[in-house]
Amino acid sequence: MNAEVILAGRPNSGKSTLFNRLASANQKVANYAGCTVEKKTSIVRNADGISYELTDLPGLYSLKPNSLDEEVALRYLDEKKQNSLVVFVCDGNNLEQELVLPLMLKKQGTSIAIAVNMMDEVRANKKILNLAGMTDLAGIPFFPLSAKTGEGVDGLQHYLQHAQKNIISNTKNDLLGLENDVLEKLHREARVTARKVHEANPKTSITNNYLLNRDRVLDKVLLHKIGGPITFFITMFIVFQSIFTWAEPLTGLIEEFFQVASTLAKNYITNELLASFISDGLIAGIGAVLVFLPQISILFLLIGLLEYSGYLPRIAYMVDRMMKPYGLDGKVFIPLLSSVACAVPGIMATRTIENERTRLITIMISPLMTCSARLPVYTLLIAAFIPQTKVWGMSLPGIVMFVLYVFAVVIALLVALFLHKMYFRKNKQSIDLIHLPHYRMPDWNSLFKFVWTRIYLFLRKAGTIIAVMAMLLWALLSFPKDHNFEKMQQEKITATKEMQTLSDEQKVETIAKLQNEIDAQNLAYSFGGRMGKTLEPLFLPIGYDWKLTIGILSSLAAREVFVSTIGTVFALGNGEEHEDGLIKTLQESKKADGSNAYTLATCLSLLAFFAFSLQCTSTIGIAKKETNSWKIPGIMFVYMFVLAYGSAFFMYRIGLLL
Amino acid sequence: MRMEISLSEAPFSRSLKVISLDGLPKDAQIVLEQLGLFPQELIEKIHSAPLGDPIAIRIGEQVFSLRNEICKLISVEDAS
Repeated sequence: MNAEVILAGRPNSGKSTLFNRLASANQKVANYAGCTVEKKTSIVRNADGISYELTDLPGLYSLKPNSLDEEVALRYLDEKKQNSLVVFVCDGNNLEQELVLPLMLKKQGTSIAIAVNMMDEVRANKKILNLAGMTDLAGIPFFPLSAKTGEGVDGLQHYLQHAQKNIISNTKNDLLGLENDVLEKLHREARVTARKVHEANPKTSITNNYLLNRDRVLDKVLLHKIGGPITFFITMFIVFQSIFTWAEPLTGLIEEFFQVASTLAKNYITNELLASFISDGLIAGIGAVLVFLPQISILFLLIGLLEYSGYLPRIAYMVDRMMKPYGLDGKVFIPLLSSVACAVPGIMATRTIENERTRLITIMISPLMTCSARLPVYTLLIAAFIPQTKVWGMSLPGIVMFVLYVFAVVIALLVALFLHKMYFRKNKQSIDLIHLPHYRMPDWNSLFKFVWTRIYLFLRKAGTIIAVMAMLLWALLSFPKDHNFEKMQQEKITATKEMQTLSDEQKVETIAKLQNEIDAQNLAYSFGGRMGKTLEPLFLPIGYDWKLTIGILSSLAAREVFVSTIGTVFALGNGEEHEDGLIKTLQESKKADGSNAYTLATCLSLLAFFAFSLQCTSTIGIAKKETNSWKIPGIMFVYMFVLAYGSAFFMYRIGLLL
Repeated sequence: MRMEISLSEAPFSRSLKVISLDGLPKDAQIVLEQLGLFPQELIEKIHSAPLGDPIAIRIGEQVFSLRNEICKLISVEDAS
């Protein structure tokens, strides 16, 4: 049986960088059993063909878990194989503190070695470590190295190639089951030993630590009472711009590519059903996944840069106080901000939140942020029904848009507070602790791997769910077709083509109209269309007839689909050029009694509905993937629907009074 | 005899000796002690966030932030 080498250590101790150095190209990323904490493993083979399994453990500060990461790490240590070796990665500058935990583990019977990391910085601090002396005193082998530069890694590598031999004793642990008094005694003894071991090294003064000194200087500016918030806003602006604006051309390109592919499929595949499946189902489904790639890559590149440079934890530190009243902490800021562009990367970004409770709350409120997919819907509705007047010198449509943004944030924070008080309060309270690591130049190799892992996981895990849901929705809105109507219209089309009295231009126009009527009828005739009609009574109290209800159903794929579906329902065809026509149609549609079918009340109701409902299968897919179950996305869908329906009802009634 | 004060009231940029964490629940005490907030260890308050809370504390040669409500329950004395 392969020996297992487990990399343990505090967060930010450079474990992952060391993992990337030691691991083979073949790395596996999965989750630890039953939770969402990431587990990275790799099989490392040496020249003799002997191999060991390398595992990167989540960060660990103590034997008393304060976060899900720590609980997972300890459970893994408890359940590890008999022939496993723990390599504890320590920051060489902070050895006296960081030796305590591996000494406790050793005392508990764990076979252990210590990687003294960041030796390049230790040297720069003019510190000298007496590693032989420490090895003697601690009875644990020490390996000085720098995971970042690679120096000294071969020494550890050589030792690990004989990992099997180096496993001295490995009794079964029960770290999670240790009683408090046992734990305290163990800690006290380990601390005394750690001090003794550390005394083997020549004494240095804390003032020599150039990293701490550099932090102080940078913190003076970046965490300054005025300078801090300014830098923070500039950074947030850049992050926001990047996913909103910079990703846009790339996203547009991907969309265009899939549109062309879809058109090509339609034109070249003669079997109509197959053509429809490939172009509207398959290609559109894959497109629905890939369209997120630019946003996700850019966002995670920026998050990685902020994280590895040491600024991200300081952002959390700065905004922590603002988030505290809602039961959240500083780390939720970036995910929520990202969600203003799109909840999919936003929810993925919640991985930086260690506190599981906070993370779940953040996932649940992320889709309430006004994402960019809502904008086409808002724009259409506002253009159609909100008067283009000025209020206090500001344009009313602009004010409405602004109110929608602000309101979304307010409601999201209230929901967070509600979840915190009602649901998550029962969970164990943990201490909110933020490590403010040293400012450093990012390690580009690790940064690249970080971004790549996120992309890979998105495509593999969430991608399949999103694509399948997109295809299911396509099937729902495409079948069955009203062949009789189609035949009738086809006859009309043929007749039009042969009509001598019409000019070519008139013919094209008439045929397009007939074709649009086919699409409209087919949509109404499909399962989805019938569902729209069946569900009409549910949506009538908030002002939607069956046509709008079909629009709502179809927008489950993505909110902006509402606009094109409504275009189809009204037999206007798709595309932007029809948007003006759509606005006019919405304004002029009449009920059977001759009154306007859609009014300001309908508009307010729809705005409220779209602001709060989870009309996005991609978000549902990513939430499923990130929480490892359908429970959270299920709760999200229901609570957001109730919220959306309630506020739409309220706004509809208000609208009727206006 | 030196004055025992809470960590939230203690001055910045001074060497502080941890006296006790007895005000905290046992589990929290153990977590923080293993992090290095152990009686007799020397720590330093580095700065507070722009809104005054949380507070950054140097433990060993690394810096952690702790919320004020926790700092209130940790007693220290000026050791500089």
